[in-house]
Parts: sequence; C-alpha cells; structure tokens
Amino acid sequence: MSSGNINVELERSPVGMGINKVSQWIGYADFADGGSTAGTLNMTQKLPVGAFMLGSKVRITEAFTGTVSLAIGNSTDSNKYSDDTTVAIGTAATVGESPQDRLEFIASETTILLTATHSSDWGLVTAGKMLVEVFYLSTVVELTKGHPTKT
Amino acid sequence: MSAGNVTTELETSPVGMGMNKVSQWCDHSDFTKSTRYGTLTMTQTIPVGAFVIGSKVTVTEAFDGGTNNLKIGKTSGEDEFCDGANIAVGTAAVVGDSAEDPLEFISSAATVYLRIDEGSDWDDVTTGNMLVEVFYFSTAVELGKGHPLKY
Repeated sequence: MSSGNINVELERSPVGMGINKVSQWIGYADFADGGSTAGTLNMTQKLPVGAFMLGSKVRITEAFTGTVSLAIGNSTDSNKYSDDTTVAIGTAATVGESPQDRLEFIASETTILLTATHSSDWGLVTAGKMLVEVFYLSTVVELTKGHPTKT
Repeated sequence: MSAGNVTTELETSPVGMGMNKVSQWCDHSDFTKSTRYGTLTMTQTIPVGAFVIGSKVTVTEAFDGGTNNLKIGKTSGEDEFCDGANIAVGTAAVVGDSAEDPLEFISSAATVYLRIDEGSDWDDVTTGNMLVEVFYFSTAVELGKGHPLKY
C-alpha cells in the first residue's frame, strides 16, 4: 500500500472507515462581497452522508488584509465546523477548531460555507490566501474526490 | 497491506490504534417483543480500550407500523451510542449519530443493545431490515471479529 491510496484502502476494508476531508485553496478574491463586512464562499467539495466530523484546519500562507476572521459552517449554522467561533486569518499562521458538535454524524450531503469578516468593510481586503481543510471520519469510498497539494 | 487487513495493520503498528466496529444486519424478525418495543442484543461487543465514535444505521427496508425509533446503548432502552437521542428507522435511509460522550473510553467490554419503539404494539411491525454499525477507535487486535458484507 502507498500513501496515495491508504484512505481508500481503509474505506474499502471490512470495517469501512477511513479519514478524509473537504479541502480547497482559497484567495481573497474568491469570496463574494456581501456589500458590508462579510465575504462568503461555498466550498466546491461536499461532506458525504455517513461522515463523523473531526474538525477544521486553516493554513494562511498570505495574510488577509486587516483584522479578518473566518467562520466555517453551513447554510443553517455559519460556524458549526469552527466550534461556534471564528479563526483569525489576518496573520500568516496555521489555525483551526474542532466541530461545535464533536463527531457529528452527517445525515445528508452538506455544502461547507465559509464566511470571512473584516472589521469594517470586506471591500478593503486586497490580499490573502489560505488552504482550508475540513476533516472527517469517512464511511463511504470517494474514489474521485482528489485534494489540492498542500504547498 | 490490503484492504482486508488494514485495520489489523493499524492495531498492530507501534502506535497501536485503528478503527473498528461492532456490526450486524438486523431484520425485524430478529427482535424480541416486549409490549410496544422490539429488543435485540448485538452479537459482537465493544472491547476494552476502545474510544467510541458513534453509530451508523443503513435502513435498506423501512420498519413499518408506528413511529419506530431506535435507541443504541449499553443496556436495553439506553442511548449512549446514539447521542442520547432516537434514530428513525421507519424510512429507508442512512442515519446515525455520534456517541453521547464522544470518544468515551470503554474500560470493560460493552454489550450493545438495540431497542425499537413501535409506539403501540411490536406485533404491528412486519417489515424492516438494517445494517447497524457502531464505530470506535480500537487499541486491541481483534483478529477473529469479522464483519458482514454491507450490501
């Protein structure tokens, strides 16, 4: 087995549980300006049915301009996957949070909503890049999901 | 390493932690009537040293009759393995919940009890089939455990 397929081997094993994630490189310009302090973005990949949530990791390689925080959640709870709070993305660093509901079971396919908030106006954000990874224990095989390189 | 033994490889590795489960196909006829309830004790047990993740229930044939709420716990009618809540099995779907105490440590082998509440009389249930999987992080090797096919 190689590191390239170990997650699939776990998901295909008789136990049928592996570790997987939703991940995406995101630049400041990818957010939709809501006209006020917030920019929003729906991540491309989705959480599959049968997942148990582990938590979110955010690696900021280029600081977002100003005082900017990020909430990770879904359409009904904007910070569900960042423990009912936000992580700071105004500094280049690695930050993260556990889910609000530890090991939450995902009963329907879920889109992850990112909400970035500037202290006064999202339009003032002119720089920023980060890798967002939302990890979960997976119970289905996702052969074609793919993930971006970490660097 | 293959998908067939990846769990054992993890459990026998220097770290000694893998992911495992108690699992069983449960037909409505497998349950024992107790007035409005159907009860079943799963054959496999959760071993000492496990950290409980949660339960996934794949209902392939809906349980008919009344409300049909499933509880998964350490004793009949308790719900430690479904977050202190009910799991609806009256519809064919994939459902589940985290452990009530996420990552609870199991210090003595735990038998898993299932109880379905039909609402009025268990005899009204004439259909129903589901795969119940209770996942945990394992720290002991369980060579002879085996798991049923998922399909």
